[in-house]
Amino acid sequence: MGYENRLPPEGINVGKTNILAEVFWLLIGFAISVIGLVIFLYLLGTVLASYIPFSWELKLTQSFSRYTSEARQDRRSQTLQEMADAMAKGMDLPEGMVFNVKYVDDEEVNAYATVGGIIMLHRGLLDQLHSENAIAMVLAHEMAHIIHRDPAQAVGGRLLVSIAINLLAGVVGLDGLDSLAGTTSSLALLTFSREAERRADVTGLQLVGKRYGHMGGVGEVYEKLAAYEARTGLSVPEFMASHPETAGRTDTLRAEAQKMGIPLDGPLTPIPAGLRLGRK
Amino acid sequence: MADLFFIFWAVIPLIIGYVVGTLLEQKHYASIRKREQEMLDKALVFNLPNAPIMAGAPQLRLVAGSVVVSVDAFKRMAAKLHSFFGGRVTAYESLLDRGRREAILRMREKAHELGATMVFGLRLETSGINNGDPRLTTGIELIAYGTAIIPDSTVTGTAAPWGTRA
Repeated sequence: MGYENRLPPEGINVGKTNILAEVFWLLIGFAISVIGLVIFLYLLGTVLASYIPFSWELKLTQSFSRYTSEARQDRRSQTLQEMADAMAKGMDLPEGMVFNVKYVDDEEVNAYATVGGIIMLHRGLLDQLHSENAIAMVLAHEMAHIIHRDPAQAVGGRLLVSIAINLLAGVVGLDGLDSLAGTTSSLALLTFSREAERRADVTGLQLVGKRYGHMGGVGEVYEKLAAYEARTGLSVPEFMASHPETAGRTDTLRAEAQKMGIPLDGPLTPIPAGLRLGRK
Repeated sequence: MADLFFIFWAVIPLIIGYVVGTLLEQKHYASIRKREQEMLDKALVFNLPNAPIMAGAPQLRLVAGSVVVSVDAFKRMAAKLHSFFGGRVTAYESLLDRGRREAILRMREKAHELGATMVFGLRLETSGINNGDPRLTTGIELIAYGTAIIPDSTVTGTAAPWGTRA
């Protein structure tokens, strides 16, 4: 019986795969899984959210409705509210839907709709428009978002997605990977919101057409937005932008107006007295 | 933009981890191979539970060698991806291989210092070090231990144990 040690054999206990390539493919697989999961959950969230009655949405937003009811007291918000109600009158709205319009006194060129039928219009945008028709188009676009339940759907979809990403990060403990997951998901979600903007343009046009009988003045909104984007350099390629490229929107709307039989031009209504306060 | 910035900060440690980690691993392997060659006929190691019969009164001693090896950022991410998808974690295999061989070498070097010619009943134990976070593996600890046999030097002609080629 002889005792002897030999050198340990190499390459049995350590795999010979190229780790760099392996990690690369795993990352690609991870990104694809995340995008797939995000798209699926977002769609699921939007579908589920559209079944939530509008009255529930109102109840959920009551905590900040106090903030908007204060706004009712100012004359500009009142005037905008009247314009919104006049346009809503002709529409077949989902049950219990109300619009809550608020004028925001700041420079920002912006307008948006959020859950609970709340619409915020900033002075920065309104001051650039020269007819009631143009202001009505901005208002109608935001009303259309609420009619389509876009804010509720976005909240529902994003809620499911963020729950999923946080769960994933919590379970797997992905250090840098959760920020990667966040970026891929926000890029994937942009595409959906762009489609929503197109639909809001069309429904908005319908509202304005019913109220004023033509789409005159509507083009000014998009001209001013395009000019603003050019001036500030805020314009981004269409792939990255949540709004469809501003320049192309007027043409799309003209085509839609012809389809719906809305005249392209007509007499413009001057800006109502309630909105002219302090205007240059 | 902010998201890209975060990705950038997540990627930098991975690159540093990969480059530095690979260099350190190569250096460690070179050292292990060289010492294994040097130790080839010294303090022979076996996992047999019983030592052979030897002339005179040989001494028995417990010898141990332990090592802690850290995981670099790149390997850690590779392992995390594997914990999601499954599969063979090659990144950790080399780590454990190095740990085992280094621990055994340290044990043999200790035994050789004591004048032992053989180590019997080799055992190996592994544990992960995770800084209290069960999802995280910061490093691994490997310990090798066994019974070293120091031959009775008063017995002439039997410095090496009975039956050994040395």
